[in-house]
Amino acid sequence: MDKRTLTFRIFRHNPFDPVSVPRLQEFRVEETPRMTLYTALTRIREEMDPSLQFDFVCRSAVCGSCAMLVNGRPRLACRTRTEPLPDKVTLLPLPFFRLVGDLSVDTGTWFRDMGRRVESWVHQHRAFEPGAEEERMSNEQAQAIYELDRCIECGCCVAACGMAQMSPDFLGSAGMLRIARFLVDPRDHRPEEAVFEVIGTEEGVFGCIGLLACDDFCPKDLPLASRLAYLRRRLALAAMRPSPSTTTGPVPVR
Amino acid sequence: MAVHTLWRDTQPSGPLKVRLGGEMALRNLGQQAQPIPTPLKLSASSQAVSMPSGRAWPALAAQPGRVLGRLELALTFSGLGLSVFMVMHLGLLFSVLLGTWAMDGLAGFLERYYLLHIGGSFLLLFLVGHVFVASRKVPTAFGRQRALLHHMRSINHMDTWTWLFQGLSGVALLALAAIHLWVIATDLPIEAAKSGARVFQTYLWFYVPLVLLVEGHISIGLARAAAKWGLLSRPVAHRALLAWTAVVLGLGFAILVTLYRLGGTL
Repeated sequence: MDKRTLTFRIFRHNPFDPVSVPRLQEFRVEETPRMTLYTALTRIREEMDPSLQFDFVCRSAVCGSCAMLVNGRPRLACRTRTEPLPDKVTLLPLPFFRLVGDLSVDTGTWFRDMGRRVESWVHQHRAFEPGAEEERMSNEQAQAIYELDRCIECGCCVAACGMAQMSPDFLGSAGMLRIARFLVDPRDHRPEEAVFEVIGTEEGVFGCIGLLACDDFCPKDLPLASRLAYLRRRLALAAMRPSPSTTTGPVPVR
Repeated sequence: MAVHTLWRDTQPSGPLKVRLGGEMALRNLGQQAQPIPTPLKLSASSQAVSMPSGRAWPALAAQPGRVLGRLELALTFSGLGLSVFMVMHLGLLFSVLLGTWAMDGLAGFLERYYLLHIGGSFLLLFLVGHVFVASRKVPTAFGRQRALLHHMRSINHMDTWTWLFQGLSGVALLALAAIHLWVIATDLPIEAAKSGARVFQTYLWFYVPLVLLVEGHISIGLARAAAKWGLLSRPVAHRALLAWTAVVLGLGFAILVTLYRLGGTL
């Protein structure tokens, strides 16, 4: 098979340079067997333009650093092979997140803030006893938590979300998944009302318009659609129940 | 002993409640990030905060989230109600495939026992309700519309495009259904011959897009609702959508052809 010469049209801009103008710059790279976008970008940086900015750490779809728009769609550069791509490939930084430069964006700030908004930590109503034996958890429970804890925070789901592009405060399915992770954790004692307060909003599950691109573009195949549906069912049913203000019983703990 | 308690009382006099919603302005690194609140870990001298037992939580009625949850359900149930109505409507029209006597007989039965009037009232109620709750999901500001359209063109994702179809077909159906209802309501009783004459003389090119848009809006809406509430997996919902579309479109156009021929013989 003839070797292809791929043409990469790469977004270039340094937001910290006042004279920098956003533009697309073309680079031509000869395709090699099993080439990934990460490999191609590395060759461009090493052989053509050392100033090209893009993020990577693990090169194996674990760190989530190299997410970018590949011909308009969010993907991880390290696990995107060039073979199925057309001869011309346009690479843009992920939308929604703050641009650091060229293809590099700052996802960390948003994910840290999201974690704070959904209170991404175990909520206990008991005082911590350092001497007490750790409570055991069944293997099924641990697996269920792990399944929802596999998010690598690459930002592909948020970049794929139409609602997030319109509403900067939208939590995105990453935020919703984070809450779902704590709902299956037996160590977390937050009541349903607390969950409702955090994601039962226009910025949470009731703001989601159900485009489900998050589910289709998650590089880790996380069960985003089913978890969003679960949260929607749970909160909608909670909304139909009488207001707790009219009851005098104990706070419902899951 | 430090007490790691990560939940806060809701009473004003109680310890701090960590309210983090709305602090989303940190996206821009030009703005300095606020330090993560420290009251998550109380000092040794602080009193342990425990979940208040026997105390009522803030009224959810005062929270917009409770209303939003009900609107979310109302959107699905009003859509479901309209879908059921359209299936019954299809049943009435289907009867013309058996003969004009069948459609005239069924329409006469519905009018005699005021079922047509009751159905019409419910239709209007569900229609207005559905438009009201669905409009909440549609971006109205130009900036939001532009952002969404730009995103749609960029990502080129099937379920994102179908959402746009739902919005546009919903607006078109509002106008087309209003015209259709007015034409029918001002020309009662319903008879196969009258319907045939209408399709043959004037309304064929009105009913062709109406059938396509109604069928598309209902099929996509039901599939989206099934996926949205987790009743069906998305692949199953897509397959069910295709099967339903084929059956209903086939029936719809068979009925239109039958009425057109009937109108031509008059």
